[in-house]
Amino acid sequence: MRSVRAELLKLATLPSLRRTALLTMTATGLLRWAVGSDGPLPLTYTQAGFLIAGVLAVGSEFEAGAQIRATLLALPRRLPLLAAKAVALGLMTLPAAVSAALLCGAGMRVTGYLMATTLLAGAVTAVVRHPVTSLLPLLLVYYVATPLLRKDWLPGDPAGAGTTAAVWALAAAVVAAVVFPRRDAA
Amino acid sequence: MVTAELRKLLALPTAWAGLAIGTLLAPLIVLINARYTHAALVDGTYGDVADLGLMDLGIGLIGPMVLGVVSISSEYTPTGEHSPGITQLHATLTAMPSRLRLLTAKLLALVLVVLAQAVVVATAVLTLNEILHGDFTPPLEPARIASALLYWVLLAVFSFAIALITRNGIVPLTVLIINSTFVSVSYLLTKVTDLAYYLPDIVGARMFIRGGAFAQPISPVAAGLTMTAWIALLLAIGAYLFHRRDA
Repeated sequence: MRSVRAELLKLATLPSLRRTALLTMTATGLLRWAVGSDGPLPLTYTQAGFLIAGVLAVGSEFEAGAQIRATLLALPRRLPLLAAKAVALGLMTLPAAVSAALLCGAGMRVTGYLMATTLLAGAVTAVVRHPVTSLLPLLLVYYVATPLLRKDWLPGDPAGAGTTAAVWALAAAVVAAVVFPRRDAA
Repeated sequence: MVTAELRKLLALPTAWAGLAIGTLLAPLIVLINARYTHAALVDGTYGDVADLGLMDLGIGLIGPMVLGVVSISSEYTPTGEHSPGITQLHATLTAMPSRLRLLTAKLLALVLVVLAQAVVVATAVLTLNEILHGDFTPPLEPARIASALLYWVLLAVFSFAIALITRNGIVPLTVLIINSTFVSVSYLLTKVTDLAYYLPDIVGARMFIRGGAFAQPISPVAAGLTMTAWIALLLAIGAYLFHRRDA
């Protein structure tokens, strides 16, 4: 529990996350106003903010200065650390996901979808360990592959089945859980 | 100086990701869509057949965008944990203190790389279209192909200018990439106001695409000039800030 609290504190004090949340909400509101209708359209853009949030939250550990070393010094067991990070990231994302869903007039399913999106981005970044490089494949899957191939098993469609993104997030988390304990810290 | 910037750019893993994705994406999509395109060509629903092949050069712009952004954002990456607050830019400026000359060198290096990439992609896409839809391919129009290459280069410079202003890689890259996909914000705005047809990415494509979902008549030359004006403006702001701000 204390590790989750520590991770929460770290995330809450990241200025880039706050800016991302602010930008995302502003953009969502503006788009909603410009398009002037309900439906998943603004969410297509909003989800980018949730991808970025996941990338930044985990990427901050691996930036130069390698905060991850200090983190591991305090919490040497890597799997519990990863779990604490995932829980903290989920808790941090919840209010943003609820507000975004409400702004777009969507419900619980979209809230879960947005949270899964952030967790997927976080897990991918834990594997790639470089923010820009991990953002690229995520954007490609969400914004090129999904609309182009229109397959149900691809995440990236806010109107699609909510479980798909969750399954992807879980799969990425499994990869992170396998890779993270086996690699050098930074 | 340009050589140095070329080497720095081509030593970045993200730049190579941009090169690889940007080069492969358009030919890949031509292949994936081949059957659909052929059916549309046969029953005459393709639209303006003169755009065949050129239309595909509007894909894969992720390449120039990534290259333009990382050329700047990499300079703002901290160099290491033993030198907090120090970025690569400090070393760069020590070697090349004249900031405007540095920017010029960076731009030249970027233009060279993107131009090479665009030539490869254009060759691949046009050859593929010739093989797949040989009966329908329009005669080659060097001017329009050159405009498409110019569009790639200008988009890279556009991304470069934006990164120069924001000094950050992630946000400009996300906005640019999303804007280049099926859910382009610029395109969405054209539904709201006709003025959006003059946004740099939308107007630039008019240099080499004739048909399509464009209501506003803009000549290719005017399109190119509008896009160039946008970029000149952003680049001027970026250069001014770069010149005045602390490294």
